[in-house]
Amino acid sequence: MADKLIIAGTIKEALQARCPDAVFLAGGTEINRLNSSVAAGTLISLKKIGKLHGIRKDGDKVWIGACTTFQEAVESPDVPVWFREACRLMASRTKRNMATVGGNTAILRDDSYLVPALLAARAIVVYTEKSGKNEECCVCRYLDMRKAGKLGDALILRIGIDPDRKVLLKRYANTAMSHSVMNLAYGFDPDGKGISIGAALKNTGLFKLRSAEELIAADPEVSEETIMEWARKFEAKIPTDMFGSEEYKRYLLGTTIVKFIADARKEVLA
Amino acid sequence: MINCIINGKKRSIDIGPCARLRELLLKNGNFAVRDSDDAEGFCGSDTVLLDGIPVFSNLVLAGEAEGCEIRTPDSLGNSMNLTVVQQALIDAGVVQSAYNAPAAALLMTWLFETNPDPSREDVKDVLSGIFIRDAGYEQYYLAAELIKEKLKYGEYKTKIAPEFRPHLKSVGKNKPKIDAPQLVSGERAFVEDYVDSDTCYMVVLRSPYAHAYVNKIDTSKAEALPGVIKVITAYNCPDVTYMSAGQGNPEPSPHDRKLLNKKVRHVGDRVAAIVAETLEEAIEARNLIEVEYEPLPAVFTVEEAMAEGAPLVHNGYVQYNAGAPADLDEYNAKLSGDEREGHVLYQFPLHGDILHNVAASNHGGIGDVDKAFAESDAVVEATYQTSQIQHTPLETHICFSKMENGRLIIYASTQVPYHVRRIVSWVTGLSENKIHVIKTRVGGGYGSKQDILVEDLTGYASFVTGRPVLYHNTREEEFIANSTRHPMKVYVKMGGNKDGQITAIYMKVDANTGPYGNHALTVPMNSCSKTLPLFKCDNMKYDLTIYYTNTPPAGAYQGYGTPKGTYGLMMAMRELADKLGVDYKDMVLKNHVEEGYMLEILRGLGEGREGNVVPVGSCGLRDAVLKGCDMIEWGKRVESDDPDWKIGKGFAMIMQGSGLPGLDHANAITKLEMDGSVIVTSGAADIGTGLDTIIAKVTSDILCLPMELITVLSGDTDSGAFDTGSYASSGTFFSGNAAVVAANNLKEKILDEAAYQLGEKVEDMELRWPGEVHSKKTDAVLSYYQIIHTATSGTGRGHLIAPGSFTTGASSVPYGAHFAQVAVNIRTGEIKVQKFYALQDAGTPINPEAALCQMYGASLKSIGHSLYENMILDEKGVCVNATMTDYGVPMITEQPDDFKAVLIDVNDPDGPFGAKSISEIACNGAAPAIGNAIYDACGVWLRSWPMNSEKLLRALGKIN
Repeated sequence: MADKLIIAGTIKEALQARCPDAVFLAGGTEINRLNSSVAAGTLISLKKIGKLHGIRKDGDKVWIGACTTFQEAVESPDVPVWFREACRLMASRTKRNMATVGGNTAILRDDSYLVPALLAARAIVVYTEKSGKNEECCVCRYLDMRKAGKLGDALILRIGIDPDRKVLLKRYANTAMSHSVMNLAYGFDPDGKGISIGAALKNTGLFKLRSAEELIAADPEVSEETIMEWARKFEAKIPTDMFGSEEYKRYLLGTTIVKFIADARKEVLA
Repeated sequence: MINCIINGKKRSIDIGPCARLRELLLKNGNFAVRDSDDAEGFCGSDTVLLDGIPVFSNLVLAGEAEGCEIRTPDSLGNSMNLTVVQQALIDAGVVQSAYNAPAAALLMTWLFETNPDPSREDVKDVLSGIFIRDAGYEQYYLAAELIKEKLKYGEYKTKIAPEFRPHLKSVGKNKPKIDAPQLVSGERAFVEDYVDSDTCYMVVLRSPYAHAYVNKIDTSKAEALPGVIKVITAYNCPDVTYMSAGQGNPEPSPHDRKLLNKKVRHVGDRVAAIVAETLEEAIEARNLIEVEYEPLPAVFTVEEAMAEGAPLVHNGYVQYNAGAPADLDEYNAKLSGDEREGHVLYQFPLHGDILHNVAASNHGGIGDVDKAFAESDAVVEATYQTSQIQHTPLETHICFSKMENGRLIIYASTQVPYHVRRIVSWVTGLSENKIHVIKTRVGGGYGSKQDILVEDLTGYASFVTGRPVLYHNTREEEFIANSTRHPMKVYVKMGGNKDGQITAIYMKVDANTGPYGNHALTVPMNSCSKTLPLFKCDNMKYDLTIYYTNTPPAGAYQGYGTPKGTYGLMMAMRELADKLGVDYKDMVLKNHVEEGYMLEILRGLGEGREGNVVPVGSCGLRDAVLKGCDMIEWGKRVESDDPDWKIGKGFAMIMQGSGLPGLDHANAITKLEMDGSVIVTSGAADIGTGLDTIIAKVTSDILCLPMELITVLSGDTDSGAFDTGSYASSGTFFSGNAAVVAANNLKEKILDEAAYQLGEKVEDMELRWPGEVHSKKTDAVLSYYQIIHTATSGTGRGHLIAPGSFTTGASSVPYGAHFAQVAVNIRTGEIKVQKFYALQDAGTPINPEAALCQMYGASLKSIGHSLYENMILDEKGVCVNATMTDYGVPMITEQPDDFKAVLIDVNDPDGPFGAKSISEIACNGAAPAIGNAIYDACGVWLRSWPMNSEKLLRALGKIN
């Protein structure tokens, strides 16, 4: 546990409090839990920062404040159905009352509830660093930068999503409360184009499945065999572990994308 | 200092801002905000409302609560003044072991305050963050209906549960569990609620090795730490060999463990115990202990254990208290005899062979199976593997002990208070009159608290330090250092004829008991003794071998070995039916036992001695099968609209026992108090299942006295008389019958005293409601108050007290059938249990609403065991999924959409008011019912637990 708690009242205060030993604390479902992946001497609580809360429509985007809880998103009529479903993948209502959209995005867990959906949705992340200047990028870019060791100090302010975008979701886990072995999302525009696939693969990482997207973009009628072959050869190192064998996981990855493609076609036709 | 409003009152609590909110609340006295998962955010015991929103208080920092309004479960009604929600939870029967009942009551209260007309989905949603292991979740939906009706109409409209025996006023009626008000309102109930303010804390240093000698322990740095009171190791504690199984003495388990060993036999085994003034000091001291281990090769499976030249888990020497073989010296000469190994003591022969890692074995049968197989029209054979499963009680193992005037007082969450006392007596050397075991309410046992796993060390720590000591397992310790369900390999060979008659059954069971032999014989034996007697078959044979390994220990688990044996037998039977071209239902109906059928197979299946051959008694098996087949529409195929999903049906017949005839023993003492009320002091151990209520109900009907005038005191070794405890489904049958005997004895005394006081003949006297004696001859009436008042006056004949003792050779077997409809996704391997129907003959259900909850709870638990629960060990024997999230248990989201429990009405001649056991048997049906349904859905057999998607995909050929 940390030994210092700072309750930030503004974004500025939160940024000023940032130091090498400090991390931002949002809902607490990750940082305060047993065996947390985050350890810090100082926690900067964001809950009292009004600007990080709330959901609003602005132009062609729905903006979801970083400290919006999963449950608030579930209950919001402004949030697209797929986003609510992604939040509902966190099965515990009590936990959904606490976990935040920004927190779950920033923590980048390999069993993330939201990041695959945000990748598939081509969502926008608005963040700020110590300078206080707001920056924005797509979630994919945010993920790449985080993987490259950048933006570690950034504070996510809000997430922007396109309400017209379609996103299909599939999460595999032992039980609804278990860590997922795989959480996949398949996004596309209403005309069926602009495919984007997000994946959280346990003990492997978070991915935008660009190579699969390219296959589908190149051949909208891509065969099941081609996708299954792609999954068998997908470049990530997928371990055999308590969640299942490598072969099992690659099979699930492939067959789920095949199903996504079929379901997306049906949805576009409908 | 944190300022907040707790339950409507402004409070300033002196606590650091980085402490957890739950710690703040405990400091404020809100002890009903409990912790079941070490702040994992899983079980929900720590649920509170923070500014009107349900949150896990362990995941909120105290500093974040500054200025906030907090509401805790104890803000609802107290036991004398319950709210509508609390009362409805009690009436629906869901308040059982109830560790999470206050949190559930808070959530349901919040639900109705925010939504007066919640749907089933709303109820499911609000309870999605609460883990309930005992009662399942189905009856929470009933509770919600009751709340709705009470709020709307001022009364319940929905029938809570069926009622039985109209001529009785209490037995078979839906009357609340007598401890439920205390439990649902979050009053003091559990061990942790009775801890003294000057208590020390104990932690245990555990082995990182699966198998190693402890050659040296340097505790000097730890002992030098301020606050450290005592460090206990194998080098400074009594060298007493015993076992942890809470069984009748002499126990059918090898004595093979000590307080602390010089050899560790599993990852998590005890190495040292540290007692300090604070928990933090104890943990810091633990980190300073230096241990020199000598690692040894380990074995983790029965295959490894039985291999030629396998490392020996026990390699000291063997002793027998009785029945030692003539060649024991020669045998012992082949063992290492290393002093660090200790020894294995058999109270009597269990046919163990530690030279081959065999803890116990048993072999037997009837008829000629080889001949019968040869003559059968078809034979099937297959091996079924079950996994290692944790009980996951919400309340992890805990013990608080202290010395008072030379006596050791132990507050225990146990199923076996008298066995606790005996074993602590062995360890400390104190005679049993110097030990007082107080069983508190038990926050979930399921067999794990039939083992004495923490009371021995905690009691010894108090004895040796003279200080009050608290020990409480972490959740991880609950996984790695407790008992678990034995993994078993069950080979079944079954033969039959074209007419559907089963001609022969052979079972070979290899069980893994882990490093110690507690329940080594008895649990695996149930895989045969509680399954083979289902069959009218003249040729049956079994070979049972139990192996020591270096896995986390196995032990008693609800159902004992029966779920594993049932899994193998019922799956094999379905396969045989298909092979013979016979409908499985017809085969079941043709082969199941009926009342009067002599169970010769039981002769060899006693608990280490010859078993009782008895005829089948009351039996509702056929009714359960027929009714269940109607309910699930057996034979009618269900098709899904989605071609990926295939739907199938399966069922299994099941049985258990009602205690151990010829072994179990129970006592009760019933007293007429000075105002005509009654106190029953029972040796029984109510572990949340309603045993105290059963005792109150039978006493009520015998003495014609309302239940509110009867108090039951139980589980206290000072005030009660001996009872073997709550295991082997004995509670209702044995402890209930002891209460019947005591009540009948008191009835005789009351009648005799009334006759004496009236100057009439006793045969003219009768008891009448509500607590009076009536003369059939003169119409005179004496109230119990008048009788006892006169009897205890200076000239009277004295207090009316009646003991009751119960033993029996009778065997009252509960039967049933469990049905499943599953949907199987042949693309992804996902398996969903759509429907689950549990039909059981429990004799007279004394607490019908509680009985239904236990059927739901045990069935759901067993669905979890079948489909996903599984302790996974790495190559070094480390459990890699020792958290609730990693392990995975059924939450409300896992419950089948269509879930029904049905009581088959059978009146048993030997049970108290016709009752048999109810809960344990409900663990036995899910695995074979689901396994058979999977086969019915997609044509593949899943012959190992957990029956998960990867195995299904392999069986379907989707992956290699």
